[in-house]
Amino acid sequence: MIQQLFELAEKKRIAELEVLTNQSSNFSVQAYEGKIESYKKTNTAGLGVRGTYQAGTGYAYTERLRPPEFETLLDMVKDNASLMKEKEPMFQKKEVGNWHDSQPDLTEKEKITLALELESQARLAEEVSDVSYAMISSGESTRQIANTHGLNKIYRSNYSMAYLSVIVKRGEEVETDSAYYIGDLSKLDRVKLIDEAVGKARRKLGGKPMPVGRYQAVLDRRVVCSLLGVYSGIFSARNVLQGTSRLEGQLGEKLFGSLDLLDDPLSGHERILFDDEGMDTSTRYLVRDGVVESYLHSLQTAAEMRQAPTGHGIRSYKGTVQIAPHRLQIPNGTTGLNNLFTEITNGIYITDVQGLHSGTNTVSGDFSLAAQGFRIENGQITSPVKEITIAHNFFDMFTQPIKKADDFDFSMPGGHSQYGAPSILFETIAVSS
Amino acid sequence: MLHPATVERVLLAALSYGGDFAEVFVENKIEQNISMVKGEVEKARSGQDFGIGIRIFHGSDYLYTYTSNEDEEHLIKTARLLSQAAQKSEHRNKTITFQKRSFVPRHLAQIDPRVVSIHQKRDVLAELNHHAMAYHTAISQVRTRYFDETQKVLIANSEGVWAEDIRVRTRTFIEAIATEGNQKQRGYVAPGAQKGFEFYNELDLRALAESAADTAVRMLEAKPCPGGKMPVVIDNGFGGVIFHEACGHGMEATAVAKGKGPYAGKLGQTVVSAKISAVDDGTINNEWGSLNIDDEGTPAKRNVLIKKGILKGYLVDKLNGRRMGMESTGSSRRQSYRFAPTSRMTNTYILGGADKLEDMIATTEYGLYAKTMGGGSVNTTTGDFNFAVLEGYMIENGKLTYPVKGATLIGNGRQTMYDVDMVGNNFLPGQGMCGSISGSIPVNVGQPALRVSQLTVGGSGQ
Repeated sequence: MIQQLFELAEKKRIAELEVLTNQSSNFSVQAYEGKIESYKKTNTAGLGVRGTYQAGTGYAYTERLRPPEFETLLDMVKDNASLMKEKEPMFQKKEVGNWHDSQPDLTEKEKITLALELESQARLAEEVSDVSYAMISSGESTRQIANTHGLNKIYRSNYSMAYLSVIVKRGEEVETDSAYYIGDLSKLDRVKLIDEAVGKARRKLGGKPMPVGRYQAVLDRRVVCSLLGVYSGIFSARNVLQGTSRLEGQLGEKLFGSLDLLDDPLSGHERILFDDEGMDTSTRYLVRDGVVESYLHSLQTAAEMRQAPTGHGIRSYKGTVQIAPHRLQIPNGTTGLNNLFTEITNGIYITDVQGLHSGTNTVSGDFSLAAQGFRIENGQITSPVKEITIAHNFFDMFTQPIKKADDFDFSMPGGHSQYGAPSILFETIAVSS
Repeated sequence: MLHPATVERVLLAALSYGGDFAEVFVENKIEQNISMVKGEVEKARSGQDFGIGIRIFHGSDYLYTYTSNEDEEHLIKTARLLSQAAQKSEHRNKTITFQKRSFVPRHLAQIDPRVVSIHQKRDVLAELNHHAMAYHTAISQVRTRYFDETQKVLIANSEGVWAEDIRVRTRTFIEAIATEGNQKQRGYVAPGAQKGFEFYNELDLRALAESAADTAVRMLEAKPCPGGKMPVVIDNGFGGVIFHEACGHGMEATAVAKGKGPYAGKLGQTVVSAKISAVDDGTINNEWGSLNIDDEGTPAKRNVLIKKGILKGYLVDKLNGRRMGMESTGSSRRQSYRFAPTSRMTNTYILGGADKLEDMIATTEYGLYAKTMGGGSVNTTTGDFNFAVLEGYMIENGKLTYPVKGATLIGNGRQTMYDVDMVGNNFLPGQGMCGSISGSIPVNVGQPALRVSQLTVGGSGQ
């Protein structure tokens, strides 16, 4: 099929063509009140192309993978390319490879049983009034990238996941929280998963606002990961070139105190061996001891800035090349989380934030987020806190001394990028309520 | 699209091992995207989405599958496998007679975007870019995006419904960034409609570009917003996002059917301030969130949600309708064939009242005027929400005194809508995308200016 496209492209005077395909099949079941409430099984394939025609680069995609559609597909490429004054560089080396990461998988029946057991068991937990989601999902996907310069790389992998979201109730007050497990489902510890979701929801019950002020604050690793997700765009060379990143002209500058920040594409829930332009990935520090060491590049931004490409050109078959990290992380600390609390006389432990896409300004770095957590008084967690907002600035928060806990973990997978961090103690964060 | 005989065979296969209802959804969508930065086209892409979703009900549970492979044998096999998974007794359907669902299309496109040259589309962006850049010397960056899509859908089910529609949608995005020293602020507008290319003949491109630029420039002067509890005047248009997030989602059957959420079991009761009446109206001609038929083939309706503070109705889809013992309200929607549909909003509006915006500000001693709202989110179980204010001003002694940045509104939806003490006469809708369990769908929000007597404002100012 790909060869057919290459031949047709040549006929249509498309000088270079890159083809990205994705085939995936997924399965998920959701249990509710002792029954399988939703059962979903899917099978899809999509094909995206990027082609050089005259001076420019055009993109097109189709989910109808039949030769009669290819004609239209390549005409779209030409049409779109005609708007562009410059072409995007493509991977020029004849690299080929075929990788397959395989994880053990349960049978469909076993997954259904597991979902049912997870739901009924979660329902029995203390103060649980309902189970919003008790879901088991799994899937397999194959990604291939090839171009007319001889690139041809294929990666196949599968995953399995359990996700639980519960509602707890005390009097009239309700709270929710969730937990997930990704990996071999035969090793899933249901009790642990239920305890985590229920525990996180229950401890929030009885939350109250706290007085406005500036406090010492420990941001839970989940919150740190969320902030990394929102602000990772500042490292994108595209944003630097477009003047929407404050890191413009800051390579080599010590902007982030003593922070280390790195991208390790082989860590996290699934390895990323090559990016969506075919470039091999590698581990790379973006910030080392507070100094900005590298931007994230696609082939195009690397060429424009005359820097080495970093393998961060990301696209789905429908989309255009974007720049994003693979597994962006702050390395683990060495102090227990509870030991961080003991350093606080009057402060807060922030466990949840909401409004990440609206309460954050990725240009200025300012954020103001609805938050939940716990008061810390004289080194101890005392009472739950809610209906507050926390405000700070991403560029300023690491210039103050920070202390890292030893509880490093990754955020829940979703989309291409995954973020990892330990919980971190900051000297001052503004709280309002 | 598929032949009726094929669809019938697929539906019968879907019921071969059990289930009491089966549905086929076929989607074929062509879209065009062009983005421009600093006056140059950055990316141009187009493509075709194609797939078939098959859904089976047994009682109030469902099974769903989708595939991009339109081959009849593959579809029948997929349907049969899905039916097998239901593990119920054999069903008796032998034939299905389709009845074509007819409707008067309300949202026809005058100029089919597929016949407009890509260069004309690019020129719209160039014009927007020009006006935004020219507005003020502080404007350092303008990003614009053009979008159109033509979505053909076919919905057929075992009850004999056969419904087809073509939905043409057009939208443009303008983001302006103003710079001063190392301070950068942004302004943003994104109008859309269920129209073809004629949309641009009816828009004032210059006014649009300038309003985005104006927000960015004004916010350069802004001070960090002081935090605390205070009265907040939320102006019209996209301000309606608060009702959408804080109340609308709670009125979707998805939230109500399981007896969860703040509005479950509250029909006929006072649930918000008596000053508020609200509707979800999918029938408004050519609106961004409108539909001729929903994604189950049911004609769209004007659904009254709240009348003078009293809860009058929910938004119901077929499946949740079974759970609730209610009829569908024409509210079943999905992003694409990749999602099973469920109850969602269309154009959700708080209706206009009698108060004037000037009076709301003049009678507020100390508070916040939220002129333009950004996005936000809500926990539909607890009703807790948070929203960013894109452009805001402090109100002191009845007057707007200075612009503020970094303001967030947080609170509880139920409480906030009780605390509305003035409802303006300046209704305006705004366009957005709403993300929920059946994907991201186009919706309108809308309201007149509202004053909330007390709301928590988050901000880092003193």
